[in-house]
Amino acid sequence: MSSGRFSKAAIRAATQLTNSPRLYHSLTHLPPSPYTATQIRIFNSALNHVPDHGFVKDSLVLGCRDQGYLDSTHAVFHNGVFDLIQYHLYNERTRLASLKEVIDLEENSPHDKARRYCIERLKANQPFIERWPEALAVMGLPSNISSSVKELAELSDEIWYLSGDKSSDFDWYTRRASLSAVYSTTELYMTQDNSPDFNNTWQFLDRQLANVANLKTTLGSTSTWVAFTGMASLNLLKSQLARG
Amino acid sequence: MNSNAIRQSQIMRPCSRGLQLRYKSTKPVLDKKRALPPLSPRTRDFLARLIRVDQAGELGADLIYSGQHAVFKRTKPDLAPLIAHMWEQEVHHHKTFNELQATHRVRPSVFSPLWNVAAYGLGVGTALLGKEAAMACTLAVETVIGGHYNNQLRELLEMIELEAKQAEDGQTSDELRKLAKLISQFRDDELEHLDTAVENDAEKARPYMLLTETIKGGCRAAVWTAERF
Ligand SMILES: [Fe+2]
Ligand SMILES: [Fe+2]
Repeated sequence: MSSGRFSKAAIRAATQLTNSPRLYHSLTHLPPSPYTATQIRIFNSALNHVPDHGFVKDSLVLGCRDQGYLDSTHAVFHNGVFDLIQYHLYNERTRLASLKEVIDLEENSPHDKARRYCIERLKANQPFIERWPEALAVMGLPSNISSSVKELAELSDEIWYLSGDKSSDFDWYTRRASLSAVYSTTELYMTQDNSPDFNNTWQFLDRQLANVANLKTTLGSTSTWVAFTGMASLNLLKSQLARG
Repeated sequence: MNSNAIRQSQIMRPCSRGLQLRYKSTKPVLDKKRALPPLSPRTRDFLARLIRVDQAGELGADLIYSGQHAVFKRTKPDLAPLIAHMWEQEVHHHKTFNELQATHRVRPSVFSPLWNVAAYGLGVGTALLGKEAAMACTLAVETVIGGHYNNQLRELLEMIELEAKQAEDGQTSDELRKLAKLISQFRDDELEHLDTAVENDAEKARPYMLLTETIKGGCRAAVWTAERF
C-alpha cells in the first residue's frame, strides 16, 4: 500500500469521527446500551457457531435456535450477518475498558498502552480468525462501509481514551487517524499469519506503530490539514443540514 | 452593551471573586455499579457542543492575551502586568476546558489550528495599534464571551431541571451542577476583563468602534463555527 493511499484511508477514518456526533461522556451516568438482553444472548450463541459455519446467515439461525427462538427470528436482524459482525465489534470494543486496571499497572507510556489494547483487541478475533476475511468482506460492502469505518474510528478513540491520551487540538485527529490505519492493516495481516501465537502479527504491529511517527508528519502538513478540514466540514455540514 | 447590562440578564448569582474553582473529576473512569441512568441524547449533544466551543473560545482568549503581552512587554512595560493578570486567568480557563474535553471524550474543534493563528494574530495586531485598540479588542471579545456564557448557563440549568424531572427518583449527579458553577465562575472572570477594558478607556477611543464591532462579528461567527465544527 502506497503511503498516499495509507494516509487517505487514515483521513477518511478520522473524518468519520466528526461525522458521527461524539456525544458527551458522563462519569456519573451510564452510556446507553444499543442492544437488548435477548439480542445479546442470541448474538453470543451465534458467534459460537461462527468457527464451524462462518459469518453467514446459518450462524445467526443457529444462535436463535440455541436460545429457544424460531429459526425465522433471524429476520428481525435487518442487516443479516452484518448485525452479528457489528455486535462483535461493539462488544469487543467496549470490553477493553475492563482491562484498564491491569494495563495501567503493566504498561507505562500511552504509546505502550495503546499497543497493548491493540493486541488485546486483535486477540478477540482469534477464535474465528480463519473466518475473519469473510467478516471483512461483509464490512467492505458499499452499504456497510460507512458503519464499518465509523466503528473503526470509535475503536481508535476508545483505545486512545483508555491509554490516557489528553490531546486537545488537531493532534486528537492525527492520533486517531494513524491508529485506525495501523489497526486495520494489522487486522488484515493477522488473517494470513500462521506463525506460532501470532508472533509475526505482533511484530508487524510494532513496525506499523513505528511508521506512525512518519504518518503523523504527513498528516501534520498544512495541505493535509486543508484537505482534512474540507472533508470534515462537508461531513459536518451534511449532518447539520439533516438536523435542521 | 456594558458589563452591567450583561449582569442584569444573569440567572446565577456571581460567585465570590478571587476564589479559583478547580475542576476535579470525581473518578477517572465511570463506576458502573454506582452510575445513574443514561443522560438523554439531546443533553449529551448539548454538552459536547458546549465543551467544544468553550475550549476553542478559551484557546482563543489565551492566545489573544499572549499576543498582546508579547508586544506590550516591549512597547508599554507599564501595561504588561495588567495584560498578564487577564492572560493568567485565560490560561486557567483554557486548561480547565482541555481537561473537560479529554475527560468527557468530546472531540476538539477541527479548526483549532485556525483559531490558534487567528487569535494570536488578533492579539499582536491590536497591541501594535496601541493601548486603545487592544482594550477595544478586549471589550469586543469579552462582551461576546460573557453573553455567550450567560446563554449557555441558562440552557444548562434548564437541562439539569429536565434531567431531574425525567429521573425516576428525581436524582441527578452533581456532575452537571459542577459544570454550571464552573461556567458562572468563568463568566464572572470575563466580565471582570470587560470592566478592565472599560476602565482603561476602551470606549473613549471612538475611531475604534468599527474595530470593536468587527471583532464582535468575528467572535460570533467563530462561536457558531466551533460549536458545530
Ligand atoms: Fe476565559
Ligand atoms: Fe476573558
